[in-house]
Amino acid sequence: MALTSEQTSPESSRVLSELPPEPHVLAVEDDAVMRRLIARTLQDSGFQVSGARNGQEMWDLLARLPIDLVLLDLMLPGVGGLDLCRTLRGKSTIPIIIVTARGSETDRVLGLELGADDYLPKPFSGAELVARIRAVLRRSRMEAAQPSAPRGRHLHFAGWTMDLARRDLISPEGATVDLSGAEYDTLLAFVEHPHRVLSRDQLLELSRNRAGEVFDRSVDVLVSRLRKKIEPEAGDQAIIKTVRGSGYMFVPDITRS
Amino acid sequence: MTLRPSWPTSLAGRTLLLLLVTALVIYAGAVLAYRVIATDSAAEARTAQLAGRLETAAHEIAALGPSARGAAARSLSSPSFRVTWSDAPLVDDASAGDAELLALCQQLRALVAGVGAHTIHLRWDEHAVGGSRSVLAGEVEIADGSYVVFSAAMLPTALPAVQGVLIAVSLGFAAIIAVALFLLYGINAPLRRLALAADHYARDQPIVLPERGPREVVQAERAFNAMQRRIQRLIADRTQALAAVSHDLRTPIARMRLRCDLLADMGLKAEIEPDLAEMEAMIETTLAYLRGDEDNEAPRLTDLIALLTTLVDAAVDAGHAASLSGPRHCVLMLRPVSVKRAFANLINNAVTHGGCARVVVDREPDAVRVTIDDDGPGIPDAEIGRVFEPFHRLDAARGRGTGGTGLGLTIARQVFAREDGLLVLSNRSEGGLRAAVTLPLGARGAC
Repeated sequence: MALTSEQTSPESSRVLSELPPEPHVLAVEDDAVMRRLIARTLQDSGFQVSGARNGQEMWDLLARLPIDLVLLDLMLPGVGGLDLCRTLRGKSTIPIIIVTARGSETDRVLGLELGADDYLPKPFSGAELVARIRAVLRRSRMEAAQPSAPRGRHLHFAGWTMDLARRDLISPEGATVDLSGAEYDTLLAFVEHPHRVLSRDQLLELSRNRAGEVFDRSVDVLVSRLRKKIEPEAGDQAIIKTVRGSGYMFVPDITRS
Repeated sequence: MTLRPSWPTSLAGRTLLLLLVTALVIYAGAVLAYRVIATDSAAEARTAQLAGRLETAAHEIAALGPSARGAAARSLSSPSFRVTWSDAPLVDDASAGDAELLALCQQLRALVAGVGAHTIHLRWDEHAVGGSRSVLAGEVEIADGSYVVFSAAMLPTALPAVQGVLIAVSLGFAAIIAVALFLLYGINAPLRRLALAADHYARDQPIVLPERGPREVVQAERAFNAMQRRIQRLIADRTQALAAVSHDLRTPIARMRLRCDLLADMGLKAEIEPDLAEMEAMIETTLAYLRGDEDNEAPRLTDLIALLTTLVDAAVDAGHAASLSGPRHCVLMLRPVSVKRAFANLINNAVTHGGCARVVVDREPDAVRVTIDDDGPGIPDAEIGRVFEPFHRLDAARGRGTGGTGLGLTIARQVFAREDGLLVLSNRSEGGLRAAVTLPLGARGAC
């Protein structure tokens, strides 16, 4: 991935190399065919993949191999996925993404309460899987790099709150503001790199969650849509500042909880 | 222009009518019988009286000598009963052709002692005696062959006071009718309860019948309650089966989706993609519809404009003509995931069947109105009521490519009803369909 000459910040080179060269994902899924398909999909995108059929095999592999992220199916025989998630979170800070065919809101909330970092309902596309794994890994790396900063799935800026697990944005008056997937990912890219000028290409790279999709809308349109939703009436302090000739910069300070 | 009286249709009405007719028939029969019996007994009394007088007269006259008989006869007479003596028959017998006279003859033979086989001549005499209408003239032979001739006025029998009887009978029937009405009420009330419960079923909260009262009522109510429970169970089983199938389909579809994404052949991928998406969409809508009331999403304060903007932007990105206009700021308490799905269905319908979607948000007193207009053919007036039925699709929409399960509007209406809102479809005069959603502002809403 060649960086464009538009970069002005010396730190921007760090932006794109935050992930380990080949992250190792452990897929805990009892359906063998599904395991194979997940493995192929992730391997095609540069991941190392190991598979476990149940909780027992999961513990076994976690002990033996350097795993960076656990992909956990909730519908497992024997000890259920939710219990496994709770136990795993109790023992380690390893990133967990839960996957299930039961797409109810309750399951999602419950999983996140039990310590999962993200939730992916089946069926999911290969691109979505890769993008979510990357996003969770980036986040955990950021947290690891700042061990003193409070961990938590809520990010606050200028009165706004982002719930990283539920992928929600809440306004200063407490209203949920709906964002499209691309808008959310763009905002995520901004909050992960505040006070830095990000070029269009960088934003594109960071926020591209649907790698297989043809990305019709330019970054400008995305940022403009995002602004319409989060920025107050014209005149007040902007949240995203346009830097002429370079790109955009996220202005407010960020706190976590 | 005759008015045909219509038969009563209610149970009470019919029973009452039947009772009244029966009462009248019995009533009339009783009065008739009473009259006949009373008349007969009155006639008998009259005959007995006549016989008594005749006997006295015959006995007295027979005991006297012929010269004294005339005077004795005169002294035995009264204005209504004239007696004379004759030694030869004077009265022509007319009893041969008159059944009544024959009968009278029989009775007199039986009642007057000493007549035995002696001759009795009787006839009716029209000549008025003392003002009475009908006179019986006759003669009775006595022992020595002479005749006691009499002329008796047959006064019309006066029936004893009938009014008293009539009143008594009327009161009797009134009492019977009152009892009948009371009994009818006992039957009507449970019948009405049954009808109400049946009407309520599947529309409002099911009514459980009390199973009290006469045995047949208890049986009927028990059977009805059992049937309600059976039907509930049947529906629950079917719903669960449908949900299970839809849910289970997700696993093979999940596998197919990953395989599709791994395909190198872009052409093939492009062909399979839409079908997969359609299958996923059908399952999602079916499950959303089935979960409908049980979905425990909690209402949250939500920016309605942001929600609609996302949907409209997505439609524009997909190449459709869609627009949004309205206030910049509008927040409401609602369930964002469900409401977004509902609006998505409406906007999707507009762009798919109507070619475009113009979304307008208006503030109303205590409510917000979201209108989605399109320029399509609208919905035929005959179908407008039916489009909300689950799995109902307009014939025009059944072709492949327009997709849809027929649940979009059903779910949308369900969702908005849960928010205490309203969804109304109408055909615009300029052509095209208008979907108008009204949502209450509530205590925390601000627009």
